[in-house]
Amino acid sequence: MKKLSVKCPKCGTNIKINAPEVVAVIAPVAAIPVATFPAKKLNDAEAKIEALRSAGVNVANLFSIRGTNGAYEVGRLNDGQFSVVPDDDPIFAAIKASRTIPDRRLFRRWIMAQVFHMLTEKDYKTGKPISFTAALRRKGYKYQWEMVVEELRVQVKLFNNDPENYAERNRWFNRGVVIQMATDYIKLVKEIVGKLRIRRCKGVPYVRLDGTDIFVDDLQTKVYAPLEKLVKSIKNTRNPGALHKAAANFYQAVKTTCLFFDMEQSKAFKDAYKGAGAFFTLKNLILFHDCVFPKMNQEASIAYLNYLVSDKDFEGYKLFGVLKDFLIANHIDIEAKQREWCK
Amino acid sequence: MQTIYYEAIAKVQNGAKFHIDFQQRSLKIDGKYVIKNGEYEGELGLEASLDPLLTITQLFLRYQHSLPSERSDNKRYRYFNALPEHELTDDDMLYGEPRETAQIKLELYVLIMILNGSLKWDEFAKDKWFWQSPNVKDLIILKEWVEPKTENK
Repeated sequence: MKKLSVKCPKCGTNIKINAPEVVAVIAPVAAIPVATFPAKKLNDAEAKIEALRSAGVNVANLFSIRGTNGAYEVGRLNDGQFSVVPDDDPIFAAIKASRTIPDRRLFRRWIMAQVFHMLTEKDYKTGKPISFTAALRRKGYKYQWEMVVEELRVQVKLFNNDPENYAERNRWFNRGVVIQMATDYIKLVKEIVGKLRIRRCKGVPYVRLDGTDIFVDDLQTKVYAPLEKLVKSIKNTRNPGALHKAAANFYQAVKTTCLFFDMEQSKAFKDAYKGAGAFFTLKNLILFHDCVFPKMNQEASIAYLNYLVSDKDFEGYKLFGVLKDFLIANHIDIEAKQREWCK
Repeated sequence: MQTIYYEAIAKVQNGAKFHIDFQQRSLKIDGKYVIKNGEYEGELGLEASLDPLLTITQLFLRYQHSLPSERSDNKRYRYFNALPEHELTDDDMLYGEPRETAQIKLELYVLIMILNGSLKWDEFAKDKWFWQSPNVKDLIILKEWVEPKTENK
């Protein structure tokens, strides 16, 4: 019988088979159905590790292990010590809760982008560079409340889903900052009212505050007292959800009382903004852009950054100073990079 | 006095709103016409070009990789498509141009090239109703932008 040489499309092996006596149609090799080899099925632990790998997490020290009961677990080797990674590990909890894999590679890069752009903002008329604080002031007073209320809303979700991330964010924007912002607002309103022209209606003095006429005698009861009551409600909050709600209520009151673009932003807000901006920018630069503090490696740099912010009295503006030095030490010239990008 | 092109860019950088209409040959800045039905006062600020498509492609790439914002995302109508945030690289995010600025640079350049006669449809896409850049497939120019249909036709 005539022999036919056939090449396996999968492995490339030449196989000799008996040729049929009558061949009606000769199909191309690619069209010959080939038995498909089933892909290796991942066990639960391997699937979890794969999910972490695709999320950009370093999985070099994770292993799939099989317990005596036959179930697969994820094991971690840390300094020679072997331990089982529990299912309530923050990363697994986040995947389960949101049903998506958090992309650590994209972690808070918006903040870094915003910081970089604000660091290079220029004056509209003269074209000369302005400071970061001036760039923040340019966003207007309303921005501070919009930003903080949104930040607190996110923190509510993180509080349950990602405690580690929550702690990092709450380090900067927390109840103390919101209380200070609200207290500063009341002071601002009092200053504004003090400068307003006193009008009279049938001899009774009144002022026009952001379009609303209020009798001078009613200022305390109609303007200040409701705001002070709201500050008290912020002070009484005991969990992130209540804090978010209290802050949103205060912002609502701000909108109805008086809100001008050029009102001075709260010092507490500016400090928290700088601190959070600097912290997440530094973290991103260290983790993903091969930048380090002088004479330190990546691990030591992250540890040093965490050490700096572990002190609750370490103000945000100081960390921002650290960021500026860090950029110089790592030869990052933002304007040069921006010019390069345009090419 | 600055020219229309550079003055418009400066105003948008400073927060002004703008709207460009290729068919109507118009440019509005903060609701006021700067170019209306192809008529304007002053100088456009750009010379006629022999190869406008090359510059359009360069400006499009910058626009495509520009940094979006809430303001740019809320824009009702855009002639060209840019990448969403999650498709941008870190460098785009850190060093990229703001999207509104990149958008006016691109759209106004196209409008001016139409007005000064550098962009003639029959010279680069005769008998087609759209032109797709051979190098950057996402860059598409429709014939109706360059040669708008008139009601009498």
